[in-house]
Amino acid sequence: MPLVSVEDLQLELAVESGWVRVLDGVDLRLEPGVIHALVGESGSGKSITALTLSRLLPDSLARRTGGRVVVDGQDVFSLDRAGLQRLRGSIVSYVFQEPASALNPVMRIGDQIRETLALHRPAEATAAEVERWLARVGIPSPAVRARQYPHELSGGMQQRVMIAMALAPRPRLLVADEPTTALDVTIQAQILDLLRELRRELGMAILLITHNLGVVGEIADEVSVMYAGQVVECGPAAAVLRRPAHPYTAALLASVPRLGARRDALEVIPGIVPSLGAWPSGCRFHPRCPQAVPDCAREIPVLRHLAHARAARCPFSVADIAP
Amino acid sequence: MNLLAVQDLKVHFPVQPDWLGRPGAVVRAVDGVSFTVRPGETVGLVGESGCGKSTLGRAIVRLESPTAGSIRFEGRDLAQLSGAELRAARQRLQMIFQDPYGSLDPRWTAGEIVGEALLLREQRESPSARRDRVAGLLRDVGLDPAVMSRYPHEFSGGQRQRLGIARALAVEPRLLVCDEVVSALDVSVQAQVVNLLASLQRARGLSYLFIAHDLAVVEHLSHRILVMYLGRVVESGTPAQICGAPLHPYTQALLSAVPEPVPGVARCTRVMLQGDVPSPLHPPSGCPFHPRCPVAESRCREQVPPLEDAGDGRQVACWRVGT
Repeated sequence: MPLVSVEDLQLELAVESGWVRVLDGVDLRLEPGVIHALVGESGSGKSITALTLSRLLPDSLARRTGGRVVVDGQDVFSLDRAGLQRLRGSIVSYVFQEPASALNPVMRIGDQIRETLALHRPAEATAAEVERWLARVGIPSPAVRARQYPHELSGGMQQRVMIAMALAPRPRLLVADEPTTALDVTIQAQILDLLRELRRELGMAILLITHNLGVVGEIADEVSVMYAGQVVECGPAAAVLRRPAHPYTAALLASVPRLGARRDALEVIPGIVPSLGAWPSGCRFHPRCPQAVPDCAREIPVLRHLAHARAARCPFSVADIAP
Repeated sequence: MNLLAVQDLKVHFPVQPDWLGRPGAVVRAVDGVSFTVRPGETVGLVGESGCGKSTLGRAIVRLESPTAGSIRFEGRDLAQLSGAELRAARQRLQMIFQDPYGSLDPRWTAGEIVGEALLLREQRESPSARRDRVAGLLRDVGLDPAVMSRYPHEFSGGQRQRLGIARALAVEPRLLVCDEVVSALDVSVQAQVVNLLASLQRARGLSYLFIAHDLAVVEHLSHRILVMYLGRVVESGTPAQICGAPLHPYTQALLSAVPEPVPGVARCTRVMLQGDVPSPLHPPSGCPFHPRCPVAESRCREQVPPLEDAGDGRQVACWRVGT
């Protein structure tokens, strides 16, 4: 049974002028223990999709207009308050981009981790267990650090504390939303290494949200690429990055400057990402797509299965694609 | 002749005195940096947060006052110039910032933002001639002149950055200091702005001091690259030297930490750095990199290695290079 199964999810957000559609048929599947990257540019809907997994958006701001979200066998849109409470933290937990704004600035970090343990695993809410978690996420002299406040830690160390807090309840899924975007590249390498190690040790699945294709190549087993509220391609990360099946994935890969591959000019995707509520008709990518034909403007393509556990939302993707 | 020659530049910030009025410590943000920029050349400046790269850029346009050293622009020492002379020199020495949201006045239209810069020029033009020039500048940066009456919030991030570039170009500068100008942009938009900077350089013979933390973007745009660590340049050379065969252990670690999207393209073996960048308030003795350096020896802890020629026009500050 998959750990996460999102099927044809349609979601609208409240704006001043009413409701605007932000997700339009999102499909996502995660098996236990895998690292799955969700990639896309700003406004593609990747963070909203992640928040929906434990219904973190208030009902007054977000409404589902279609589709299903099943996490660990439970339909999250039919859970009551208590059910959601159990889901959050114990089954799905989150790490966000800015650790400094997610930590309580006036509380010692040891107490913050202990608070999480007290809520989800009361028997383990001890100083010794807190120090074990700090050591596990690679924080040196944990007994000293446990008594410090967030501002006494560097950004990389703060993110390690966030990871410890998220994992202390032993969730089955860790959602990491741009966890390394605010960090320097040498620190980013450390954090990615830590996530890989913790997955091996604890066995949870990770949904990693990122705009950085390098991070995907570095750590992900699988990847889903989002564009304008839809998943346009998914499959094993290595295969998708080596041989993208959707023109958007291909164009995105070509526009990233890569070390040691200096070119005269970078490949450019013409135009801009369409803004929310102003999506083009038919295939969302057709106005910017080099392969578009007139039909692309008429019909929204389906996410079609290809060989080797891959899928793409483009009628021109080759079905028997090489692995 | 060099357009810009920076000699032994130091920018130190005194920390506030304590409550007894005793002077506090000194942050040596930039601590003895020398380099030159030739006409039509792009010099890339890379390093992690806190290395002093932004302070160096701000000191060159005199947004910070240097503590010691000289900045010669077009052969004249900027520190010796009178107020009027400095204002005149600044027209040929412009800066573009990272945040296209924060660096444009939200209550001004695009036309006013770009047009204001034209009022600074010695020869005042008629309003209609100025309008034509603004339209021309907008076209040069790839914006439709019809957007002249729009406000910054009506533009996307990439378009706003183009507006910032148009404003800087209005006074016909020879050197542009670009501080992380593409880091806040989405991948597909980043490629557009990078290509724009390259084509403007070809068309106008501009020089750039391109400050960024993204090594791949710096490699793509630069003719020469300086690598900074804790206020000092630790290595400089051509992109091929720095990114192809780095000599300094820090440059090697920095390069190896950049994640690579396409699997199987192993650029080099990963050098995982331990710990964080030390605080510039309490820099380590000797070589600033020695606490994190995998090959440090006793001499590195005691003496600061000088930046010395290592052949082929490259410079390295490391006791271990050549031994």
